Amino acid sequence: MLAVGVVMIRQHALLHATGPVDSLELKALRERLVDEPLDEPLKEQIRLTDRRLRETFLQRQRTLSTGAYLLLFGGIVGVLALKRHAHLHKRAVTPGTVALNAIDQPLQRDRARWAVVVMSGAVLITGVVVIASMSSPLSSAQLSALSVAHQRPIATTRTQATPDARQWLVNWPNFRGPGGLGVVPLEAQGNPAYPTAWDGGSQTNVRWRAEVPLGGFNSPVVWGGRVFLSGATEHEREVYCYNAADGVLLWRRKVDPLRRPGLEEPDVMEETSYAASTVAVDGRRVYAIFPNGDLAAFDFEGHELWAKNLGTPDNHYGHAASLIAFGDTLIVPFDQGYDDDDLSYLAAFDGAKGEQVWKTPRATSMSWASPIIVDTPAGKQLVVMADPLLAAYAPDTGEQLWRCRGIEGELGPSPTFSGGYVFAVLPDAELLAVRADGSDDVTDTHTAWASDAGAPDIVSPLADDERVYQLTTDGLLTAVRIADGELVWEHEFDDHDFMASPTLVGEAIYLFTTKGRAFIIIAGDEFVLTAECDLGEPVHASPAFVGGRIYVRGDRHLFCIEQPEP
Amino acid sequence: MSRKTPVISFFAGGLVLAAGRAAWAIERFPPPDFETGHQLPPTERTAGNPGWYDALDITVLFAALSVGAWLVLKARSRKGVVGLAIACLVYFGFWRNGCVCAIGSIQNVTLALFDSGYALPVVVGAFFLLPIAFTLLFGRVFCAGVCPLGAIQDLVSFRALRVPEWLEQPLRVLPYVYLALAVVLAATGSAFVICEYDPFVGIFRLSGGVAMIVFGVVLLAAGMFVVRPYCRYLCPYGVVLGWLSRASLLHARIDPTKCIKCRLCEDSCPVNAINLPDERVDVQANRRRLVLGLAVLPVFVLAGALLGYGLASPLSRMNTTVQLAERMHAEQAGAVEGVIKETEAFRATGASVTRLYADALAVRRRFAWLTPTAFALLGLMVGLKRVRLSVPAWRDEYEIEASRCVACARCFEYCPHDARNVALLQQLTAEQRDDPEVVALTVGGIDR
Repeated sequence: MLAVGVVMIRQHALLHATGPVDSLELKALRERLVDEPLDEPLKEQIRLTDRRLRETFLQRQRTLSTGAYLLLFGGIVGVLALKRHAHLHKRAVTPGTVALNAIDQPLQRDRARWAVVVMSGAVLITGVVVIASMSSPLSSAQLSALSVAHQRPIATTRTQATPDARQWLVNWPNFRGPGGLGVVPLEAQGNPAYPTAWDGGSQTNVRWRAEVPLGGFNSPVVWGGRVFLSGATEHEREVYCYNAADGVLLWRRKVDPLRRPGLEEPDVMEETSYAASTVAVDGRRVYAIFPNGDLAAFDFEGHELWAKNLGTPDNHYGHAASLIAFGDTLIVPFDQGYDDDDLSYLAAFDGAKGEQVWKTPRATSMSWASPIIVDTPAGKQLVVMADPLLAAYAPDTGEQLWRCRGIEGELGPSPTFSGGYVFAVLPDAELLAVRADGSDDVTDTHTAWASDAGAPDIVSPLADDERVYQLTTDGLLTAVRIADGELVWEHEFDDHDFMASPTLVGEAIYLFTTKGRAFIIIAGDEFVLTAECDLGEPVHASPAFVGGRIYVRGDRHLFCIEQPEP
Repeated sequence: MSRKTPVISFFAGGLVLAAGRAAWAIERFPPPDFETGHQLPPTERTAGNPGWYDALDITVLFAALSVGAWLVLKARSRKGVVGLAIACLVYFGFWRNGCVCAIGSIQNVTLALFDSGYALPVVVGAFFLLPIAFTLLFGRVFCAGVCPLGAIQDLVSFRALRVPEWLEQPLRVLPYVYLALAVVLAATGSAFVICEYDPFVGIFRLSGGVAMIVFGVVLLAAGMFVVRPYCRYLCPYGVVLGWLSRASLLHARIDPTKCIKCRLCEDSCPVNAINLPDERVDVQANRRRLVLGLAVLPVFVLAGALLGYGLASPLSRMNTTVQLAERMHAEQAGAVEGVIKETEAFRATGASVTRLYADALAVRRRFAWLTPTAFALLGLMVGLKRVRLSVPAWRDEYEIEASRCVACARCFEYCPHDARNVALLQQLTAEQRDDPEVVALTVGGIDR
């Protein structure tokens, strides 16, 4: 047994010294390979060394295993030998001396009683030492403070039923409203009358105005009498919920998920802001994302449901693509870096739990365009664009349905959709019309036309049944015919700049300048201006239109514009 | 070969077994981390035990307990008990790898009581209840030879030393401490410490952590001279069976009408379970001690509760939720550098950190009332033990203390009224039979 033991001790010691994981020899070879990645003989040497180390390791394991069985067998024989030894050397009982125990009993009990006390003291002292040395650095009071969001009785949360298709239309669930198209579904909303005149200075037709604590160029979204938006600075990120009726700030929640230590701070241009991505709602939850990759979900009462950090996206202006919800899943476009960096992806998360439902990698560069969800005869399509692809995906699986190549530039304008065509703007270059009924690569088969008339760089296009309207930052508004891509008309708003995307309300198109001036024109084959209004505060975000009210985010305030019925 | 050689070889072999097998069991390494074109075969998962295994385990347990009861109470056969111990050691220990185990089942039952989301497996419930039922009927026949942990210790003992009462009594406090810890940690879903620190499971499986196997080998080495050290000074299930065996209907007894006070059983018992006649009871002194013992009882309870109150925080750190919350907080606060796999995985889930803290707080609150309660009860038990030592029961006959007796049947071999010994004694003259020393030599020396 001793011989077996010595062999096993040696094998055990060698097992660690020569294992493939910690082998210095292998480590040195790998380090050489980093410097000479194409050195094929070196690779072969690594393979052979690795194999040799593994074989040695396994051989030693087998030796140890055999040794263990030998020791067990030896142990059993040893015990039997000891038993036999004891049997052969049994001693005679001497009951007379044993009887002395009876005499000693009271003394034994006295000692035992005190020994129990001593043992109790020893347990006590050991316990005190444990308390002193091992108490948690995180006190219950700290835990209580840290978990305050979840100490509120969840029962107070109003239970929301799963929203039906109509509710997705009567509300304004994401950037540019239902589907992200910038078109107000008037009929579904019950044909409310939207205001055509207001004045921020005199508060004419301004139902309320509420201060927004932190700035950002994201747009308001509306659901069930609540208006949601986000705000951020370099160091703070927040989500806000206002009462749509009176503008009261119902709740304000910080977004501060766990992040990897040493997370890189995002590069954010002032023109992008630290809260450029519009939040999304699904009737029960609101979701927000920020340029550092913070992503969070809250219920309508402001309880944080989950929060995570996706890692700072590689984006030199700052991440700005907005979120969009599809049923109970949240869809996050996360295009970043350049198309050969393998960093971009499109992902869907379970709205309630935050677990990833699907993730589709994309060979695309950073993009600032937001996704849209469109209805086609074949079903819903999630359309996303980023250099070099305009692509459609199945929103429930992330499977790519079709793609159109040749999309170039720093893509700010989001795509839009009408009459079976997806319209994509190549900034300062052209407007593409791509039929949405294709599959795989449709670049050469489904591109209907390309128009070079007035392609914007930031503002998203708008489409009615017959025309696509484009608005450049410096005020050139063009209408292009859907049927053939020909320019119908153009109009230049002198001395006005635009960042907010246009919205179609029935036959009216609402345009907001960066100084807060609004133009209302008629959608048609001629440029017809019907109204001009002034909010009195700069506007960079696209407004939300719900129930006859326009919710506009100014630089400092959230406005609700409503025109009383005559 | 000197007398010490086999002992040394056994110790050395055991320790080497521990080191070698432990390393063999826990060493793993990843597949190659560069492309070779080799297709790794799919990972094969072994199917769990078939359902009939549970039924077989329960059947074997029931049969072993029944046989044990018969061997102890009817056949009064030490050899039979040893045979049963070997069989159960092979089946429950080496064949079934020491799991499922009645000792560990305390934790499952506790968890099931405190966590409605935990379903107690039938086989575990049976392993918890069957030994208890047999103990209530027949005494600790489970400990005798059915429990593989008891069996392996019993089989290695060969030169039993008597542990003096002043040492035996305080050491028997330790199982209460272990039981309190195990219940608190199981009730909070934190850990199954009885399983984690099972000293013999590594030997049964011929694998395990080095510390675990070394602990087992050391206990076995101690068990050669101090019979069943784990059973007597650590086993938390033994605490439960000890309480219940006091009320057992048919446990092994000394028949006072036949006892000739030869004292052979007293010396043969390795676990100090034979109570001697004690006719020198000082009633006045007993009364004083009783009053004093009862008076200080609240002190023991209070000290236990305070200790439990203080231990709530350190013990809660054995809970993985609390551990994760602590680590998360430390990482967020920059108190530690880098991340660990657990926190990285948690971040990837997207679960809310405030919810994690809330969950950790909920765990901490459970510890906050469970630990003082358990330790207050521990204080009560220790206090009562002290009271009991202060006021010994008056007796004029030899008696088996049911709570200590592990039904090993050693004493039967030495009893002059054992059928086999009666036959030997009948060969003596009447004079010789009146001489205890001759009787002792006739029925055999001490050979444990």
